Amino acid sequence: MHPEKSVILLAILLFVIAGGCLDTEKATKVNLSNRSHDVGDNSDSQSLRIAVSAIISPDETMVYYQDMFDYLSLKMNVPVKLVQRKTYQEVNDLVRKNRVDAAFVCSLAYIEGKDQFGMELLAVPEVRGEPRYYSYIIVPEDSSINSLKELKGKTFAYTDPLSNSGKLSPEYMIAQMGENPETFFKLTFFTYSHDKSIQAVAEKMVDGAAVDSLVWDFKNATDPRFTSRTKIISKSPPYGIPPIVISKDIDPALKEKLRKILLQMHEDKKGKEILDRIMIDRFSEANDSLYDSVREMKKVVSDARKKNK
Amino acid sequence: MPGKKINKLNNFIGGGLVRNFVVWIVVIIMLLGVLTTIFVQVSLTKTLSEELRERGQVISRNLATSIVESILIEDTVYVHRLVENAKKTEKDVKYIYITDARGKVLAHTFEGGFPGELLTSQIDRGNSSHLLDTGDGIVIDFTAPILDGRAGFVHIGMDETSIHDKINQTSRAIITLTLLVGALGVLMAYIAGNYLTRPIRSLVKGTEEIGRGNLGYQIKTDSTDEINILSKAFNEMSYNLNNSINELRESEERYKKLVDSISDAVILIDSQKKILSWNSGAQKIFGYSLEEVADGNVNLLNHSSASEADNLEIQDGENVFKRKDGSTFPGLISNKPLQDSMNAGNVLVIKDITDQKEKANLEKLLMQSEKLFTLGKLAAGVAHEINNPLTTISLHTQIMLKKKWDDRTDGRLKIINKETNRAARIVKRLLEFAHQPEPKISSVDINREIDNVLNVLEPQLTHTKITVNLTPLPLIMADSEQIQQVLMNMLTNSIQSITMDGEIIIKTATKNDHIEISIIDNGCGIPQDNIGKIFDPFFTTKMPGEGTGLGLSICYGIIKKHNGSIDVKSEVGTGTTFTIRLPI
Ligand SMILES: Nc1ncnc2c1ncn2[C@@H]1O[C@H](COP(=O)(O)OP(=O)(O)OP(=O)(O)O)[C@@H](O)[C@H]1O
Ligand SMILES: [Mg+2]
Repeated sequence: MHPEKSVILLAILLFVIAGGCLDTEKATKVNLSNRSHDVGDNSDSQSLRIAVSAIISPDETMVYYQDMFDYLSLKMNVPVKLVQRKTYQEVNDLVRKNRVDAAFVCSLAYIEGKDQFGMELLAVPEVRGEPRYYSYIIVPEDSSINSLKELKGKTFAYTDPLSNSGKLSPEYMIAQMGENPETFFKLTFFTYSHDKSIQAVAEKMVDGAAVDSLVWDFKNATDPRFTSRTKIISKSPPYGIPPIVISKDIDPALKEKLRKILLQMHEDKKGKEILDRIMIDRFSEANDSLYDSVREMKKVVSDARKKNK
Repeated sequence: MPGKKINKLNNFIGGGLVRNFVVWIVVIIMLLGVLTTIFVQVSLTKTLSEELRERGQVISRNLATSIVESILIEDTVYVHRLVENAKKTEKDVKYIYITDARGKVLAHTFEGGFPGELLTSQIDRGNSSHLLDTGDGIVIDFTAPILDGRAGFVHIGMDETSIHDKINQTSRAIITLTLLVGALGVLMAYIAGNYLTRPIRSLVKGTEEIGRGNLGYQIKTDSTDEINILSKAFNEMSYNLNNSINELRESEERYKKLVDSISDAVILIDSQKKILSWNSGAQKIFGYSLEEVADGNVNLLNHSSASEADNLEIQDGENVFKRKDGSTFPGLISNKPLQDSMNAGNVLVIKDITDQKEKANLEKLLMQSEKLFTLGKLAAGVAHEINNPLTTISLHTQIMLKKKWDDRTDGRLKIINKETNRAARIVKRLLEFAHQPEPKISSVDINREIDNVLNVLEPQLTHTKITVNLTPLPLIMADSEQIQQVLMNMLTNSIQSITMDGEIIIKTATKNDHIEISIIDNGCGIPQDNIGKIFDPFFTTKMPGEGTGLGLSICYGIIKKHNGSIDVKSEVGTGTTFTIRLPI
C-alpha cells in the first residue's frame, strides 16, 4: 500500500470518529424574533378562585391543598385556582374586593372580615370530632423554658397580625398574666406562616413561638423534621377552627353548590381519602358563635393595649 | 546513456529525496495539527458545554427555589425582578421565562413580547435540557420545575455562542501554530535533508565513477553513522572489484596465450554452430581473422558442400577443410562439448595433417626405391648369369637353323629359337630395370619424341584410334631415349588394355613451371585396390609370359630421375589417364 493512501485513510477515519463525537444532539429550530405572544393578563375569569391564607408557607400550602382543589375542580366542573397572598390581610382584601370566590382564612381574620365587610361563613372543618383548634406555645426541644412566663424578655415569633393562634392567643395569655404583650418579649416578628414559626424555633432563631395546633400536629405526623426539635410548653383553650368563607356578593347558586360539595366530601370515597390525608374528619355547617371566644380575646387584648398606652 | 541515468539519480538524491523528506515532514506536522485541532475542538466543546449545562442547571434550579413563593403569592413584580436579575448577573444567559403549571407564561426577559414558538418547542420534552437552534446561535434550553411543576417551570436559555467563540479562537491559534511549525519544519527538513543526503551524493558519485570503469575509486567520508559504514563497504567493494577484475583479466590473458600458443585451430562454437572464439592457430591454419568469422557458421570451414553438412553432427576424425583462399587441406578434427549434458556449445580442435601426409608419402617412396635397389642388384646378377648361356643357346640354334632338317626338327628348332629370344627379351628388360643408367641430359622436344614413338608403334595400332593433341612445348632438359622408353611403355599398356575398338588421346600442355603429358585411354581401367601397386616391380595382371610387371616400375624410375611425377586416374570400365609432369 502507498503511504500517501494510508495517510488519507487515517485522516478520513479520524474525521469520521471526531464527527461521531461531536454530533451528539440535534437542535430544534425555533424562531425567537416573532414575539407576538401576550403575557400581560393573568386574570382567569373561567376559573373558580379560592384563596388560602398563609397558615402554612405558600409552597407547603400548595402541596397541602392540591388534592382538595383538584377534587373541588372535578366536582364543580370548573378549574379551581388556588390564590395565595403573603398576609392574612391581603386575603381578606381579596374577599372584600370580590377578587376570590371563597377563602380559607384564620379565625381572627374571619372576625375582622365579618366586622369590616360582612364576610360570610361557608363551612368549617372538623378535626378529631369538633370544629376547634388550639394555640401551642413551643420552644426548642432542649430549651430550659417550660412556661410562657419564662419566655419574658426572650425573642418570640408571631405568625401574622391577623392570626388567632399565632398572635392573638399568646397576647391574650400574656395580658391575662397582667403583662403588657407589647413589651413582654425582648423582640417579636412575623413569620407569616405557622410552619415557618416551627422552623424558626427548631433552628433556635427565636426562643419561642405560638403556632396553630392543626399545623403542628399535621407536621408532626407527616414530616417531623422540625416539630421533633420543638416542644409544646403551653396549650390554649380550644378556639373556633379557621373557617372557609365567601364573599357576601357571591352567586347564591354557586355558594350552595360549593357548600354542598364540601359538606358531602367525607361521604365520597375519594373525598374521604383526601380529607384523611390532611387530617380533617369532615366539613360541617358553620355557626358564627363558634368564634365568640376569639372575639372576647380580641377585646381583652385591645383593652390591655389601650390601658398600657 | 548510463551517465545520463546516474545524473538523474544524482538529481533525485539531491532534490527528490530532500523534497520527499520535506513533504513528509509537512504532511506529518499538518496531520498532527489537524489531529490536535480536532482533539481540542472535541474535548473543549465537551468540557465547555458540560460546564454550560451544569451552570444552566444550577441557575435554573436556584431560580426555581428562590422564585417559588413569589409565584405562589402572585408577586409578579418580584418575579420579574428576580428573573431580570438572574439574567443580568449570570453570563451566557440568553433568556429566562417562567410558566405556570399549565404552561402559561408568567414572566420573561424578552423585550417587546414573548416568542410563542418557544412554548410549542417545549412540548413533549422529558429532558431537563435540550438544544434549540434560534437561527442566531445554538441555545441550550433548561427547564427546572417549581415545586415539582405544581407551581410552574423556570426556563433558561444558555447561549452556546461564547463556547464556539472560545473554541474557534483556540482552533485558530492551533492552526496558526501548525502553519508556523510547518513552515519551520520545511526549512529544517530542507536543511537536514541536504545535510543527510550529502554523503549519499558522494556515494552516487562513487557509483558513477565505477560505472565509468574507474574501478577502485574510493569515497572520502568523515561521518560516523550508517552512511560511513556504507561508504566503507563501498570502498571495500570498489577495491575488491578492482582486484577481482584485474585477476580476471590476467587469468583471461593467460588462457588466451595458452590457447593461442596451440598451433592447432581451437574454435569455440555455440549450439547453433556459430563461431564464438577463434585462436591464433585457427587464424594461421584457415587464414581468417576472428572478426571475419565471428558469428559465422563453422560449416564455412568444411570442404564438403555446406548444405549437406548443415544439420550433421561434426564427427571426430579425418576430414578435408577449406581455407580462406579456397585451397583445401586434410585435417584431424576433435569435437568436445563444453559441458556435459548441457547444450552450451562445443570446442573444436582442428589439426592440419598435410605435413604428416607428405611425410607418409615420402616414407612410402623411400621404401619403393630401397625395394628397387635390392631387386635391381638381384636382377642384374641373375640376368648376367643367364645372359651368357642364353647367348650360347641362341648362337647354336641360329647355326643349326641354317642347315636342312626334316620339318619336325626344323619346327622344334624354331620354337627353341623363339623361346630363347623371349627369355633374352626378359633378361634384357631385367637388365634395363636393374641398370637404370643416369639420364644423358640434352634439350628435348617432347612433342617430337611422341611422334617418334607413335611411328614405331604404328603397326600395332590397327584396331585403335590415336588422337594426338599436342601444344607447342618448350624444350626441356631430359634423356630423350629414356623419355621414349616411358612413352613406349605407357602407350603399350593402353593398347593392351583395349580389347575392342578404342581410342587413345595424347595431350601435351605447359603449366607454370612444368609440362604435362597426358595419355588417356578408354580401356578396361584399373581397380581401386590395384592403383597403389601398379608402380611396384613385377606387379602384373597379365598372363605369365605376356607381362613382366616391370614397365611402369621402369617409367617411375626414369621420371623420378628427371625430377618429375606421374599421376593416375582410372575407373574400371571407363578408362585410364596417366599424367606425366616434367619440370621445364
Ligand atoms: N593403360 C593401362 N590400362 C589398363 N591396365 C594397365 C595400363 N597400364 C598398366 N596397366 C596395368 O599395370 C600392370 C603393370 O604394367 P607394367 O607395364 O608394369 O607391366 P606389364 O605391362 O604387365 O608387362 P610388360 O610391360 O613387362 O610387358 C599391367 O599388368 C596392367 O594390369
Ligand atoms: Mg606394360
